[in-house]
Amino acid sequence: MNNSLNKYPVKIGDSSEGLNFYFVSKGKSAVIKVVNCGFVAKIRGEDIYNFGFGDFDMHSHRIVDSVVTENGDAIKVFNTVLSTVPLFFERFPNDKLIVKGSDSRAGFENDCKPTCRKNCKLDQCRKANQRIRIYRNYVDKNFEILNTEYRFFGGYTDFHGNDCEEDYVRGKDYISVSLVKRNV
Amino acid sequence: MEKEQKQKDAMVRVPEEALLSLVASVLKDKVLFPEKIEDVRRYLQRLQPVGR
Repeated sequence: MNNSLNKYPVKIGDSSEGLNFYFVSKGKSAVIKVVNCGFVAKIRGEDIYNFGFGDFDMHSHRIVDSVVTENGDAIKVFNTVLSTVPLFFERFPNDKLIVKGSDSRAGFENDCKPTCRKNCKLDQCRKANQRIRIYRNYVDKNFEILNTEYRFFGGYTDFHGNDCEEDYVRGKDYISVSLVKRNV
Repeated sequence: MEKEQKQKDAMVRVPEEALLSLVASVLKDKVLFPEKIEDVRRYLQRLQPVGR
């Protein structure tokens, strides 16, 4: 997925709930990061895992995915997060991985409004779907290479309010991205 | 007394590998994003494949 050398080494951790990856972001401070491929459901014969990522909180022992860490090493962290995708498919070659940002959930706009400083117009929350956009941009930029190894799908809400998924189209405004490994 | 408190607060240096192993053992078998997993589960149940 990402062969950049500018990434942190990861530790793989098995879990009955899926697969976890751990690494330390060494920017302005040291932050323990956790990538979680958590089992969601078996749907239409496919085991589907959610691709989640956040900071480990030493005090609460929980993962926080709603904050922007601003540790000064965002590209290196992003490269590291992406580098875990092939590792996931080594373990689960026939399963599906889905990415849906924490700011793409239903009701995000309403939760954002009371504390947001941006003066967004109605139904045009600028903070919504920011996280999935980062992944989409990466897929869009590298689609030709990635598409040889993975089959991508994009999720969107149609005019009738139905959630739909189609074969990924570059540049389209998706709220989720999922992928399976091609049998090459 | 004060010295005892200082000793309690003293920082220890833990090798990165050991620290990550410790975190891995704490998080092993836990659902790390329960709300997110539930949100995605509901989303997937609604999701209709199109044009395949």
